[in-house]
Amino acid sequence: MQKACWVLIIFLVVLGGSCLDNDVCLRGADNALVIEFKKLSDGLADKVTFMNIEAEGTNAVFYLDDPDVMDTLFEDDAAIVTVNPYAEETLFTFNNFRGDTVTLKVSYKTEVRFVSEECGSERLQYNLKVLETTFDSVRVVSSSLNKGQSTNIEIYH
Amino acid sequence: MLLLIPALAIAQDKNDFEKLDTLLDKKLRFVPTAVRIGADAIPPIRALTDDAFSGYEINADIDFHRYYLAIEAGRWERDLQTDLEEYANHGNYFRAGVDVNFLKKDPDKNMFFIGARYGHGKFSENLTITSVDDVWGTRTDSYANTDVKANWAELTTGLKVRMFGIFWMGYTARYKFLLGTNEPRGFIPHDVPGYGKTYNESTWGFNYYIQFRIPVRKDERMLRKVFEKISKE
Repeated sequence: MQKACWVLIIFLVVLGGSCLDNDVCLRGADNALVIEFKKLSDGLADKVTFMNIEAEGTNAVFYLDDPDVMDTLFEDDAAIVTVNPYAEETLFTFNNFRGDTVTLKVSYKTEVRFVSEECGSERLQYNLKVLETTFDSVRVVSSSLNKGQSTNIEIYH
Repeated sequence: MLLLIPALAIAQDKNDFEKLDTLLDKKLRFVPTAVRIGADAIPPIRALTDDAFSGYEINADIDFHRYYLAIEAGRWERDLQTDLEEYANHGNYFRAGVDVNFLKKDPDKNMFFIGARYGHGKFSENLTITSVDDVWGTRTDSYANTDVKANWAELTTGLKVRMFGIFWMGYTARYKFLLGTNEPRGFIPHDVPGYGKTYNESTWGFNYYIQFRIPVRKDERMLRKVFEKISKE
């Protein structure tokens, strides 16, 4: 009986401790799409220059802050844009300083979940695919969008 | 039981009675002595303190020697509202499993037990979200999961104690895991009745039961009293 009581006490302590982490905001995703540029020749990171990136369906333009500075767009060899969370595909147009454009159209699925009263809800984009592109070579390396923490698409050019 | 009565009649001394007592134990070991039925006291208290929740849970168990077949069934309803979301959930569930009593010699059959359960729930939920996105604007969407089925497993432990007469009280702590749901993709379930929040792979639960133990084998008690009386003489 004494042993049984000790087992029960330990169990209840563990139980009490586990209750403390209720309702933690566990948001793991948003609609940020991370695009990394690489050299087609050797696959190493490539620094590219674009004037800005437009997305179909919004008037907002990504990287519009420094339109006159050619080499500040992708300082870390990667661009972060956001996909349309209310649609299943988004067309991005990359404008360069010569007046040329390159396009990238991606598709994805969206799931929603209610996290908690304190944390609200979130949309998760997954199953990312490249539908069309005028870049030389494009590869999806992570098909789930996760707050910009890892590269989703690698572009070789 | 009737088969034992002739043996009782021919029993001559204390040794015979002890043998008969052992025989009785062996013969009737796995024949249930009582059914215990009751309800969880926590959901009604929670409903009083949490306007968004209502629910109940009833339970029953029956003994087979030190093994208890246990069944619990209940219903949960939740209605939550934030500035940007409205969430509603309602559904039923049951759990079935076995508890093993480690208080083998207790004459009242008080229990310190460890057990396991299979849990099954069926529920529907609705979510209306107003999403605010700096780039893509603001939009309100509604989502629904209807008649979603959920399955999970539990490990249980707890105490059940006879207070007086047929009135019992006790609690069960549950470690719940291996949750699986069959909703179509699009709206991830938030809360499964009987299980709880879904964003953890495992979770804990706690019930405080008020129960009544109804004997189903009175004849055995009578027989034992006869044994005891004859043994003392």
